Amino acid sequence: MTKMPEILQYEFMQKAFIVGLFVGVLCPTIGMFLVLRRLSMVGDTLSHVSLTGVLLGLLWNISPLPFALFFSLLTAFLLEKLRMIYKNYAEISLAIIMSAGLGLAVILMGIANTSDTGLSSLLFGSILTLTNQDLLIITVLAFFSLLLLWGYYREFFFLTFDEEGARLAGIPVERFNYLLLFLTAMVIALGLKIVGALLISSLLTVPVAAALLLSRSFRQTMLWSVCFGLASVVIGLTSSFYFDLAPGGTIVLTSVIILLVVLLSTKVYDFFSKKEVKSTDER
Amino acid sequence: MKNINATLRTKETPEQKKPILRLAEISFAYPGQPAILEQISLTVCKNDFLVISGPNGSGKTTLLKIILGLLKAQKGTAQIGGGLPPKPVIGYLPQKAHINSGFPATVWEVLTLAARQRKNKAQAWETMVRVGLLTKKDALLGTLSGGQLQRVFLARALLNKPEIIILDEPTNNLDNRGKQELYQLLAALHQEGLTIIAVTHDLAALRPYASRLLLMANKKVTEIPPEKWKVV
Repeated sequence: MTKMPEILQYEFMQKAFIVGLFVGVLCPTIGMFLVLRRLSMVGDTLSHVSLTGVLLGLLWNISPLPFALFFSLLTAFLLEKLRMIYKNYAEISLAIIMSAGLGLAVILMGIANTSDTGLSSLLFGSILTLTNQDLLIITVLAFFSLLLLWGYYREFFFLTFDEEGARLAGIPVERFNYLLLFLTAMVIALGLKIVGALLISSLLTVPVAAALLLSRSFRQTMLWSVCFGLASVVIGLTSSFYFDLAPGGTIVLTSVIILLVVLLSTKVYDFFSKKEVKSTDER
Repeated sequence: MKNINATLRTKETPEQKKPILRLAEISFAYPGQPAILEQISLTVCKNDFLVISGPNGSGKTTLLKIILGLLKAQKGTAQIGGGLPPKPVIGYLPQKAHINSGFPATVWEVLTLAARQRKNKAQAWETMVRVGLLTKKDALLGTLSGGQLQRVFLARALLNKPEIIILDEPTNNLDNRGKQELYQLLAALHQEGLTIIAVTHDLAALRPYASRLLLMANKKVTEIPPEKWKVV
């Protein structure tokens, strides 16, 4: 019988990998719809506000995950309401909510008197803090989110491509706008513990940015995004374990390195393709 | 082409045909602005080729959006079909497609996305061939010219076998050849029994294909009788 790799012999790493794989699939999938609708900053706003929820949980000595989830969902709802009020300046709603969320979080940090370790694990992620209860909640919510994304893939694609066309096709646009924001809020709450509040939103955008460089179709871009998301999580968690680093940092840095490698490869490929065309023309 | 025009003109008059769209006393104003449409009444019959023209800001696109149900009139009613379900399917070609040119989707993906039945690929294929996009099937939207992009959206409007198609400035972004191809396609669709409502600045070019002509100005719609078309 083959021996299990050392990294997977630890229960905390098994939990981290399970959550990481969910986050690695869900973040880029939802991120793709956000990036293409020019709503990349939504992830940042929601994650900063979810920090308030986590701190409240810590303050009252209750599991912070449901609090983070509640705050993210509430913010998602307010965000869509504000987006409707400021139709022509949609980004204002992000600035307003992010400021309010961060302001509240700073105040709560002072009241909660969180230890430096506790605070840094919140901000930058930690593989040691996942409890069995967290794992159960995350697994249930992740499956639920995946089912929704799978079932309403066409609706989300249509909405992202052309909101007016989607409305004419009979898609309840407002309802799906809320659903997309709720899913974003959910995935942020799920990834908060291993990636951290400050970095989770990068996992929504960076793998998508790399995939867009290779895109030949919507479906292919989605698949590349998920591959890059998964690779970032697996490589990031592994290096976090061996080098004793914050997993949020290693995961996000891995995704940025992947982006740079893809960017460089496409530039090199374009350079040689042009050269080849030029030499064929000269002949 | 002249023969086609002659055929269109000698068809039965709108009064003899079945109404497919009725607007009654429609008034509309954007929030905080004066009324753009006032008490507009209009009946469109099956197989009409209605061309609407008028100066910028006269409310042409607004009127189309009210017909489509994207805007709700403050006064009056818009009735599509006989008022009983099922409502006729409407295809729409917007004036300016609200997409970013770098959107990573292929022509085929956009068309299969718009097909009402998820697996209705045969229909999407047929429409793609009809508008001459077969060679661009796997091309990303960002690599298409303005005219090709316009054809993608026209193909999308024609999916799901619409009874009415509504075109908002359909010749925008098209060169002369593209315009001619579009006019011929519209004439053929009209002959097949489709009801067409087109808003255009390019009145002179679309006039030979129209069966009715409307002018919009000063919040009102005026129908021009055929004998005065040359004067307009």
